[in-house]
Amino acid sequence: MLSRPCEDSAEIFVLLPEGRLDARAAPDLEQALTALEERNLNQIVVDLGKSRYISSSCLRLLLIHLRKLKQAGGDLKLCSLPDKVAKVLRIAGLDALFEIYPTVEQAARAFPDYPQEHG
Amino acid sequence: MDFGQRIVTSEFELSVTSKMANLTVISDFVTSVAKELCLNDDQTFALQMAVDEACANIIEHAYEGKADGTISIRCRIVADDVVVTIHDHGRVFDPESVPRPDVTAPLEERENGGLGLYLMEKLMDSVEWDFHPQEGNTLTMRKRRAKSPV
Repeated sequence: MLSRPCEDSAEIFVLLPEGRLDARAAPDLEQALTALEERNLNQIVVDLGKSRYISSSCLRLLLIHLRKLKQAGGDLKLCSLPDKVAKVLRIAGLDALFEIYPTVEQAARAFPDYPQEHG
Repeated sequence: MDFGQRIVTSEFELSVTSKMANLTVISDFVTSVAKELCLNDDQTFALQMAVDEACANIIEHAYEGKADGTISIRCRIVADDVVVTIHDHGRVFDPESVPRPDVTAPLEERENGGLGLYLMEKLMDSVEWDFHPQEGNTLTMRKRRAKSPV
């Protein structure tokens, strides 16, 4: 699963899952999030723009890592949600627990480590 | 009896092994069925999600990750409902024993599990399990179909 540092801050990482985020994709998502956390990168944006579907197994992982990152003083923010993915989050009541932004840049700007001159 | 009446029955079946990779095959099957049955976007979405969650549960919990189990899916129209039955021969579970999450709970109190069953029940009009020691497990889910536009 592709991940890259945010253009304006190496402390903020963007994860870019693609395609169906079903139960089969869950181990990859888990591995990608854990790999970032092991590098003490605790400000993560998950860009869901190329994810046309998300299942409960991946939502569960996002929830577990949101809690973990917040406890470590970081956060996990979501962005670019396709309509169907946004709908699942809404039904699951997760839209109230995650910060959700229209774009990666807007999500990145919401982190304290985003450079002030860009804010 | 009206012999001039044409009776059209729509019934679709798919049988796959219990591999996670087959979730894509199942999803493609549901998409094709939804098109054949002229379901709208909301109904298609509900059917897709509920069937995916149900089959992922069967693979992960009923067959406990073993890839040689069988999952049989049947979709048909009964009156105004789309009825999906999913059959497996995996381990029996008690759906009532799985607590559904409180989706209004704050992060600190939010349960991680139970979301798959919650979504199935929320998206479909009815969800029923039947467990039989010899014949296997049958999940029946119904979704009301919108009336055809006049």
